[in-house]
Amino acid sequence: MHFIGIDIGSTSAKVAVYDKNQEKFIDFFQIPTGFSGAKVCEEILQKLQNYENKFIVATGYGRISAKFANKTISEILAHSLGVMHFFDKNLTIIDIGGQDIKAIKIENGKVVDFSMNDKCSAGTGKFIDVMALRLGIDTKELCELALNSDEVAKLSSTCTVFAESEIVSLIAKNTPKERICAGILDSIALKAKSIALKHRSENYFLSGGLSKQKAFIKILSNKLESEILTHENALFCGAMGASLIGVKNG
Amino acid sequence: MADSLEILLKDYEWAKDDNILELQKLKQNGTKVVGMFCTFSPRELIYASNAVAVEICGSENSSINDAFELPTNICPLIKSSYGFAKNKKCPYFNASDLVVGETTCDGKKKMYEQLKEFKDVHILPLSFNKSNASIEFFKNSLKEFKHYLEEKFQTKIDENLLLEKIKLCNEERKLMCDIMDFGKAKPSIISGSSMHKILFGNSYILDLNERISILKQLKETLKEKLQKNKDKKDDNKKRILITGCPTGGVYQKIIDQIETLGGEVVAFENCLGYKKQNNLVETNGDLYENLAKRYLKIPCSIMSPNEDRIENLNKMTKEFKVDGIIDIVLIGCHTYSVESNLIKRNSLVPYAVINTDYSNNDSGQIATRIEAFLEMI
Repeated sequence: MHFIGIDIGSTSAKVAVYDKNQEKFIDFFQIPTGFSGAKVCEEILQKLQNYENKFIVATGYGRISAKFANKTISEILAHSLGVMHFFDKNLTIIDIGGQDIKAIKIENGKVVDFSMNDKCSAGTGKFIDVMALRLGIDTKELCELALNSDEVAKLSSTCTVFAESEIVSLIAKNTPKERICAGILDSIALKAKSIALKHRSENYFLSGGLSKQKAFIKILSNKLESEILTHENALFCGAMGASLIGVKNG
Repeated sequence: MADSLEILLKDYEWAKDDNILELQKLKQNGTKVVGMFCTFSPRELIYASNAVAVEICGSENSSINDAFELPTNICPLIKSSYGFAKNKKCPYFNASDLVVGETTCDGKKKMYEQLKEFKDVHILPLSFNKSNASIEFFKNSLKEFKHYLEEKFQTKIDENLLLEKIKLCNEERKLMCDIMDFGKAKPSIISGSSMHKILFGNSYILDLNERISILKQLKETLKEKLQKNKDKKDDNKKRILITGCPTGGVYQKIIDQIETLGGEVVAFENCLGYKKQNNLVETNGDLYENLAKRYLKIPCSIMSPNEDRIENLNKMTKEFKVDGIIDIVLIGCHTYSVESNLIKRNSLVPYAVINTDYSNNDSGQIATRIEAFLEMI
């Protein structure tokens, strides 16, 4: 029996496969969401065809497209279950998604509160994508450059559109690229900090697209004055949480 | 039994549309019409002037575009109301000979100044606490309003007539509370969306006596249903209480959505519900002072302090066996927004705020928020 969790986000769909017999996660993969939720679901089903006895739980923005799912849950519940699989502690999850940013507070194994910034792209993956494009590099390179920067060229605008204009003028002023990159991560970290502090906790866990970037984790850690917990599979915690709901219930 | 409830619900659902013609007829017969925006409007005085009181609080997104002179980020209710004054598409506003505007929140106060361009507006100065000075102040405001009505409508508002209307309004309030009390039943016998139709539609039944008579019928019907459902098994749905701003413009996104997602709305503490209907006007003594005392008890966030709201919420949480409270704060509403911290701290059950406007742009996000809240409680 395989319990499969599918987290259909705005930018990418993440899949986690849990094998009941082995009692562990045996597979993770990710594909871009692109234009059609239905199409990405077809692709996912294709990739899952070798797994027998599937129980599928969908979460995320596009879960409505997953008509084949046995169950759907909100991404809040999904992320919380996924992170608790890694750490059984009181903590606040900071999830930086493609188009939203969330903070989820967990106490005694339960979600007690959450906030979502879904009205604005500041502090989200979209912000970093736009800036990276403007700099002519990809996100990974942006973070690597930021890591090596001695100083931060702070951005005054939090708005993605206005910040992009600001980057253009920084480039024109010959500001070193690394400092601009550091400024971009700093801006995202500030947004992350402000939503996280609505749910102060002993620990903070970072999930989402920036969870593998050391530069970002360092900046965020400084801002929150706290160690930032994460995991190599943090990108998949929504998908993992979705499959775990299946495991729990049947 | 189920049939008669269905029929009554349909009547309430269509009351606003169905009674437009009735209103025109009344006007043709010389009846005066006064438009009210708020729970603080002293309807008893309006009825005592032999006018009809109609609710013209804007609850539609369509008129907001016409309110372009007003800033973007103020309450959609204010914009919607003003928009209807400008575009003349609300038959109730159009039919009003006069509208009364209480000095509740800042946004409304300033909007009423500009409303004068389209209609006679009587500004009713409202005090904001329950002190003796405040009661005296509001009593004088009401007396001023009385003189204004007498002057405008060339009539006399005598004490006996006022007392009669106070008693009728009290009767209506009692009945409304009785009907809302059916929400205490577990499992529920009436959905939140149906209850909302009743609460919203009731004020569009123009004749006070007719309104009361229909409410009595509804009460009997619900009583019978409660009897029938006595031994029904509990379905363990999560029970939600709604508080905050008026829900006329947002109920589909929120209340209907809560039901779609498996929860149920069992109580309304907001403007449509107990906030409006609780507390009767004392009938002995100075009627204007009694009216002032009663209206100043309304636990709206424009009042300071507003501790009664916390008390009411906690009482209702227990009586309605509430699992979670959702506070609907319209975008731009400062008072409800700031007050939400106090409500959260004092709430006996999980509490969430939904910040929204009248558009449908955020229905997806709201659905996610509601779903996550229901999973959490």
